[in-house]
Amino acid sequence: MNSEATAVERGGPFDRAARAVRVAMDAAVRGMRPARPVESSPLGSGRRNQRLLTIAIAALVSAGMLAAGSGGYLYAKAAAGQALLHWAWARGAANGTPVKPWPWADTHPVARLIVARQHVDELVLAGASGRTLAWGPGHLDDSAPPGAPGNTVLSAHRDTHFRFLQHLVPGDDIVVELVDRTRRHYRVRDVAIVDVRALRIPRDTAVPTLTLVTCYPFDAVMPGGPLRYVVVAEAEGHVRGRPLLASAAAAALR
Amino acid sequence: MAQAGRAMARGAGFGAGAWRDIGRLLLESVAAGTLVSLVLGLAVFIVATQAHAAGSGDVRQGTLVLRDADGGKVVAPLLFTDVHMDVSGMTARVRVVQRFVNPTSEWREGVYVFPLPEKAAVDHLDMTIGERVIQGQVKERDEARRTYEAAKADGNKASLVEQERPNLFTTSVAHIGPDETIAVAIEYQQSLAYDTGSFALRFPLAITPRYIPGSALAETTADSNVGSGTVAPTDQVADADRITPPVVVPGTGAVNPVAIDIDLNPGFPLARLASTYHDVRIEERTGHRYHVTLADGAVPAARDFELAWTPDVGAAPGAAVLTEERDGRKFALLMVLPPVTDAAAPPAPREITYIVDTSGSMEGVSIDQAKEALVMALERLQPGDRFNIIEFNSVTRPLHAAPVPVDATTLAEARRFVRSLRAQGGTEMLPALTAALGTARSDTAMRQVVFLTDGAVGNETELLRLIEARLGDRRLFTIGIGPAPNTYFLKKAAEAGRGTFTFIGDVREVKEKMGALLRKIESPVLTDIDVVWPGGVVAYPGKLPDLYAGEPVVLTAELQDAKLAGPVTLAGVRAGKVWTATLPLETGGGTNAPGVGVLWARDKIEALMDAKRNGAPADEIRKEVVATALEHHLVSAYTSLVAVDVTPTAPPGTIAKKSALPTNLPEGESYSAIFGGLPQTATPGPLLLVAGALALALAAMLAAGRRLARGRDVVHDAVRVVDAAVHAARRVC
Repeated sequence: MNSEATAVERGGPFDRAARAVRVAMDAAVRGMRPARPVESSPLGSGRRNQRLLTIAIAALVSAGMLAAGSGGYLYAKAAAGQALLHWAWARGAANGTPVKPWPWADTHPVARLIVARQHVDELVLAGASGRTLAWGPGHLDDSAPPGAPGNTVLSAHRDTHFRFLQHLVPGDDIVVELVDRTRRHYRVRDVAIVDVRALRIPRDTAVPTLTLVTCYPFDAVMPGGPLRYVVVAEAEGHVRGRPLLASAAAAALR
Repeated sequence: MAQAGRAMARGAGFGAGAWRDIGRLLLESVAAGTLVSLVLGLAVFIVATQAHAAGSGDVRQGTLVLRDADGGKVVAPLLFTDVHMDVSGMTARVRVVQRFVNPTSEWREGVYVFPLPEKAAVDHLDMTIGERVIQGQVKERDEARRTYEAAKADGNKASLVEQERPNLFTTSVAHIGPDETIAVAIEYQQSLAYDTGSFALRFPLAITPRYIPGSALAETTADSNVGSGTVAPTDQVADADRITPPVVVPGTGAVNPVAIDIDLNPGFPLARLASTYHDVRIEERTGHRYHVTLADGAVPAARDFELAWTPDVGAAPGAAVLTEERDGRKFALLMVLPPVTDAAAPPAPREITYIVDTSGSMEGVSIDQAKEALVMALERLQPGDRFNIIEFNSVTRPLHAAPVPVDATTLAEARRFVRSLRAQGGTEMLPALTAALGTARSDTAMRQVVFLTDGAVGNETELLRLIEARLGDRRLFTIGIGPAPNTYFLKKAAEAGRGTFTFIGDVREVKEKMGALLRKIESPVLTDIDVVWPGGVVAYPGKLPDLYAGEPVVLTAELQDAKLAGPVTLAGVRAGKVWTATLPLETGGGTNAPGVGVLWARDKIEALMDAKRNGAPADEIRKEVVATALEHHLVSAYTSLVAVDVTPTAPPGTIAKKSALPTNLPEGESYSAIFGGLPQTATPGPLLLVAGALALALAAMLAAGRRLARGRDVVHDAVRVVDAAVHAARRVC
C-alpha cells in the first residue's frame, strides 16, 4: 500500500502499475468466473439457490452427524454396557444370584471372560439376540452353560467385544469366571475362518469346549457377510476328543 | 450476552411470513437430508461392497477357509432340466432330462442332488453324448458305484443315478469335457393322487435344506461313496453328506432352469385344470386332451410344481381297475372311491395337540402359512375339546404342560402364543414328537395330533419309528408347509400315524386346505378295510390304512394266475356299519396299461422298507429288495442305474474335478435363518461412521465451494474498487 501511495504521487509509473494490477485481477476473475454477475454463480444463482445450497449443507451436516452419532452411540453402548455389567457382577458376587445390570434388562451376566494377554475382561450375557449383543458377548441358549460339560458357544460383534479374537493364537489361555466365582481355564486349539454355510458347531463335545464366534473380516464396513471367525478352545487337562468343527471340509482344519 | 439479547429481540419481531419461511426451510432440509442420506447410503454401499468382496477374497495366507467342496471359487458345470410328462388316466410317465454343460476349460465330474415325487418308480436311465445314446443298467448300489468309478478311472464317460431317500436322488456324471454337454435322462412311473374330487400331479423342484441332528462322526471315510454335501455325517444321519447339496447364496442369481411340458389325457371331460404355483399355458386338444407348458418357458428350480384337475360333475370315476400283462405275469392297479358319508355324527369331544415347526427353514413365507393355519385350527375347536400347542426348533416349548380345556381364556392365550411364534434355529423334531405322543391317556376323548412342518430333516427313519412306537390310540395328521416340503416324510408320518396329510404351499391356500383337512380329521369314513380277490394275489399295501373323506382306496397287486377274472370285493366299516363294493376284474384282452407292474414293484419295495424299519432282519429285506428292483429295473435304496460309454474320451490320466452342483434355496425361505444359525455379529457401526464421515466431508466441500464463489465476488468487488480508485486518482492527477 505504501509503495502504491508513493506511486500515485509519482504519476506515470502508478498508471502502469494500476493497469497491470487491473489486467491481472480481470484475468483472475475471468479465469474463475468469466464476466458473469454474482447472481449467476455456478453454485446457485440468486437467493433461492443460495438458500438451497445452505439447506443442502445443513442436511448433509445433520445426516452426517446423525450417522456418525448413531455409529458412535453403538460403541458408547458397548462400552457403557460393560461398565454396568461389571458393577452388576460385583453386586451379584455379594448375594450369589444373578443381578440385572439395569432394571429393565431382559438378560443378565452369566460369566466373565478374561484373556489377560489381550487385556480383555468382559461379561457374558445370557442369550445372543441382537439386543443382548449390543451390550456384551452373548451365550447361545442352546449350547452348554458356561462351565458345564459340552460346548459353550459365545458370540459377539467383530467390531466391539470380539475384536480381540483376531489376535488369539493356538495355545492362548482363556479364563471363564462362573457365577459361583470359580474359574475355568481353556486353551485355544483352533482358529478358523469359515463360511457360515459350511459351519456346524457340535453341542455335545466330549471335552468341555469354549467356542467363540464373530463375523469376519474384522475391518469390513458392511455388516452381514457370510464369513465367520471361529476360535475353539478346550478345557485344560482334557485329552483331545472328537472333531470340533464338523463340516464338509473339516479335514482341512487339521 | 448482549448479542443473545439482540437475537432474542429479533426473533420476537418475526412476522408470520418469516415463520412460514422457517417452516419451509425445515421441510426442505428434511427432504434434502433424506435424499442426501439415500445417495450417500448408495455410494457407501457400492464402495463398501467392493471393499468387502476384496476383504473375503484375499484371506490371509495360512488361515483356514472352509467353504463348500469346491471352495466356492471354481465354476461348476451348469445344469438345465427338461421335464416331459405323459399323463393318462390315473398314471403318469415322466422323463426328466438333465443337461450338464461344462463351461470351463477343464474336465469335470458333476454331482447333482435333486428331488422327485416320493412315489416315483425310477426305471430308466440314458445318457446322450453328441449323437450317441447309452442305455443305463440297474445294478446293486455298490456294484453300480464300482462300475462308475472304474469307467471314470479309464477316462470313459459315465453316469450314475442313486436313491438317497425315496424322494431324493443323486446324479453323477463323469468326464464332461471342456465346453461339452452331456444329457442324462431319467424316467419314472407314478400313480396320481386323487383326493376330494381332484387329481393332483406334484413335481418337486427344490429341496428345503435338511436339518441334520446329532453330532459329527469322528471317522471320515476315505470311501469314494462319500457325498459332496456340505454337512458331515452324524451319529443320527449317517449319510448327511449325501443329502445336503450346496445352496446358492442369495443375490448371486438363481440356477438350474427347468422347462415343463405335459401331455394330459385325463380320460374324462374336465371342470377345472390349473397349475397351483406356476403360470402355465394350456392348449386344449381334441378328445379332452390338453397340452400344458410353463408360461415363461423355463423357471429356476425353486419351488414345487403342481398341476390339478377336476372332472366334470358326473364324470368323476368312482372306481377303476388297470391291468398290465408282462412276461406272462399280470399286474393290477385298483382304485375305489367310497361314497361320501351321510351326515356325519357330531364329533366326539376331542383332545388335539398341535405341533408347529418354528425352525430356521420355516422362516419367511412358511411361518406365515403355519400361523394362519394354526389360527384357523383354533377357531374350529369346540367347547368340551381339550388342546395344546407345542412349538419346537432347537428346543421344544409347549404352551401347556398337558392339554387344557377349550374356553375363551385358553383360546385367547393360544392365539397370543401363535402370534408370538418366530422361526429360528434347528429342527430337533424328536423331542417335540415325544412330548406330543407322551401325554397320559385321558378317558373319553378321541386323541389327535396335528403336525405343521416342512419336514426338512435328515433323520426320517428315526422319527417314523418313534411315531409308530408311541402312537397308541392317537391319530397323527401332517400339514406340509412351504414352497418345497419333504413330501416323503410328511406322507409316511401321516401313514405311520394312521392319519392323513395335506400340503399348503401358499398363504392363499390356507383357508381352503385347512378347511378340507379339519373336516376330514373329524372322523375317518372307512376303517377295517379288507379286499377279497377272486384268486391268489400279492397286493400292496398289505394292511390298508383308514380312509378319510374324499380319499380313495388304492392298491396294486400281482395276480398269481394270469387268467384270473371275477369280481373283487371291498369291505369296510363306515359309520358303524359294514360297507361293501364290488368291481369286475377283466383279464385277457382289454386295455393293457403299461407301467402297472413297475408301480406294483415299487409298492412292494416300500412295504419291505417299512418292514425293515419295524425290525425285520435287514439282510433278508435287502436281498428281497435287490431281487425285486433288479427284476423290474428299479432304482431303490440298494440299487442304482449306471450308464457307461465304452469309448474313452478323456485324455489318459485326466482327473476330472468333482463339482457339487448348487441348488436354489426354495422361494420365500430365508438363507440366513437356515445357515446363519449364529447371531449376526457385526454392528452397522463402521458403516454409520463411514457414511457420517462422507456426509460431513461433502458438506465441507459444498461450504468451501460456496466460500470460494463468494471469494470470487470479493475479488470482483475488489477489482471494481481498484478500478474506481484508479479513475479517481487519475482525475485527481
